[in-house]
Amino acid sequence: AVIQVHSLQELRRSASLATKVFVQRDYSDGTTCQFQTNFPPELESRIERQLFEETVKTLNGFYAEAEKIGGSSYLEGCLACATAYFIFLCMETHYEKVLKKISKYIQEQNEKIYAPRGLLLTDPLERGMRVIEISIYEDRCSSGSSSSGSSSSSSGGGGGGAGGR
Amino acid sequence: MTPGGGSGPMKDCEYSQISTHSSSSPMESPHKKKKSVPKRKWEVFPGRNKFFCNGRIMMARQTGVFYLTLVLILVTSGLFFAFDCPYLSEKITPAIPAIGGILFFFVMGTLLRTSFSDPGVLPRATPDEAADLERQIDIANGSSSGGYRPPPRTKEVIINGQTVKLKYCFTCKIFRPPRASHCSLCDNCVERFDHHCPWVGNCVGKRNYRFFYMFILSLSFLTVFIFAFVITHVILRSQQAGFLNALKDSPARYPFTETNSVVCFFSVWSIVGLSGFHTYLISSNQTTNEDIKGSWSNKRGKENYNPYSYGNIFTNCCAALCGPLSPSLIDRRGFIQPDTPQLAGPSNGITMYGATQSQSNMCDQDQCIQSTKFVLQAAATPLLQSEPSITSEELPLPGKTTISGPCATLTLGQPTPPSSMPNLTSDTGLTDMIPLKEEHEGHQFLTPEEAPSPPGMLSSGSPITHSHTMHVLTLASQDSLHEDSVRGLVKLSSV
Repeated sequence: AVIQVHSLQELRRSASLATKVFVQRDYSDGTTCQFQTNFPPELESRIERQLFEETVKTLNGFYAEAEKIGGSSYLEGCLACATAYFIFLCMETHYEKVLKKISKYIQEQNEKIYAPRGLLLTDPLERGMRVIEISIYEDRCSSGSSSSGSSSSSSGGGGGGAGGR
Repeated sequence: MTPGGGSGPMKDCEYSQISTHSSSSPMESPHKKKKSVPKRKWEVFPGRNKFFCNGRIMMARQTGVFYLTLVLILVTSGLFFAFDCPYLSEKITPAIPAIGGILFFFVMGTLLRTSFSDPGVLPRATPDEAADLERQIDIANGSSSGGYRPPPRTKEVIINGQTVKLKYCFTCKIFRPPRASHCSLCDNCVERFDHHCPWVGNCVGKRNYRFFYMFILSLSFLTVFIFAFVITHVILRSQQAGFLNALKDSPARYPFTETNSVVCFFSVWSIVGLSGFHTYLISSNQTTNEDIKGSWSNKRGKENYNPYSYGNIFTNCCAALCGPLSPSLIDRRGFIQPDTPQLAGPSNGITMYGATQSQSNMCDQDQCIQSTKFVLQAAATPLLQSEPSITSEELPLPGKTTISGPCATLTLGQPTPPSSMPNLTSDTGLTDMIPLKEEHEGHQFLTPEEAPSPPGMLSSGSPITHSHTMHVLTLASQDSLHEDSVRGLVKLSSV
């Protein structure tokens, strides 16, 4: 586990970012938080489709659980209302608990699956729940590896730069 | 060296450790400061909001009316407790001040929650996201967009069988989720935007709608309660001693009782009306915004229905009031990471599309100003300047607000629900505001932070003395935006 953590940190610091892929929200179910499960073409050569879809589906499941309207959420809501919402000062909401689970899950996925493939998932919470940002890193060993070649052809190159067109 | 692309033992060759001190921080200043104090995200928040208590409290910029609300509630309740309660608790029952106290406590709690919490602001897109979206829009449009006006940026989505248009927000550079709207007063996109309420000093959106509703509901109960018992008090006294004597009996109290009654009388009608209106909205799962625009009304077409409604009133109410509370997306108290620049300045690298008047539900005038500025920026000189020592670029804030103009229309005497300012009338409010400002501030007509939403850090306002390159970017962009807007001024004034 220590070695894996190392590679994740090193990935962030030392590998160079080739491009970023954004998985957008899927609003067909309304305003609930769901992400599209289409497989982005840039990831074609980097990760198996099934693994990726599995990740997105699990995330969607977590968000559905967080936003579920049912007995326990009603209870929490009524209790909060009865205390004039002062209870939120000391108690963590159900949603927040699920978000913690999500963040753990994402970290675990990164360590086990994505970092070894030179990819990094960013928690959607850090992007305003709009996108799942997947950073694609270039391989340092191979000069001009095929993967970075194909991914950089699809976008304007370096991430983060203004005028990236 | 194994060629990459696979899993397996590549840890030794691919991610060789390099020193992290210099590489990842082009942002950190060479030697301007000994120790750069990390800034919290609220300090560089691009919207027009005020933050207190180190980011824990978030309000709109104009808070004058909120203080008025506070004063009214406190004074009315205070007078009630001081003058009417002693008599009533003796004569009738001590439960009266007890219940009054509970109601008062509830009203204050919900008011403060509504005013101080994040209504559901959507953070602006990171530069990468924005660039990616732009690219996708270009691909979608093809190269066939001729002339100055490409088709407006909208995406269509089918929700529960109903076609919903998602609009692109030029300021935040995102496609707004369904039911989100951009508040021109706070310059933020807010999820499930209801309206901007000056009485509460904040937008009302997804995260604080239930607090707002509980506030107006409990306030209606409180005003009715106070009104009823003030009248009861006067009646009881007058039964003892005759009406005029009752008032004379407490000469010091006479004006207070009168004031209390008058205030309560007007409040009752407006607040109760407002509560009724919002009860209707909650039970049909609509926002004030949607109701005013008639988005889901039958008048638009027989096939038009609200796709978000759960079908029955009870579920709608429960969902709105007891549903899960989503977290704040803007992470006000988080620290800014040095290697992730928060937001780019104005996106000069991205081609500027002309004004798309048809698509925005912001004030058309604002949109026009904004997109004119973008056009100017695109033609402007490069943003990054090498001189980081831009001090005191602090654009003069208008200080005390000039919103008192439109606010004057929202006096207590108006019992029209909704008495809080929906987004649409805020458009007219803004157009009222701008000529007002013109009188007061002369040449400062269109300082970039007056006219809403040039993207970037303009409205942060706090003197930025750091010289992180990130802040250099923003200061530099402030500077050239200022120039551009002055140029824009000249052009606009000639229109």
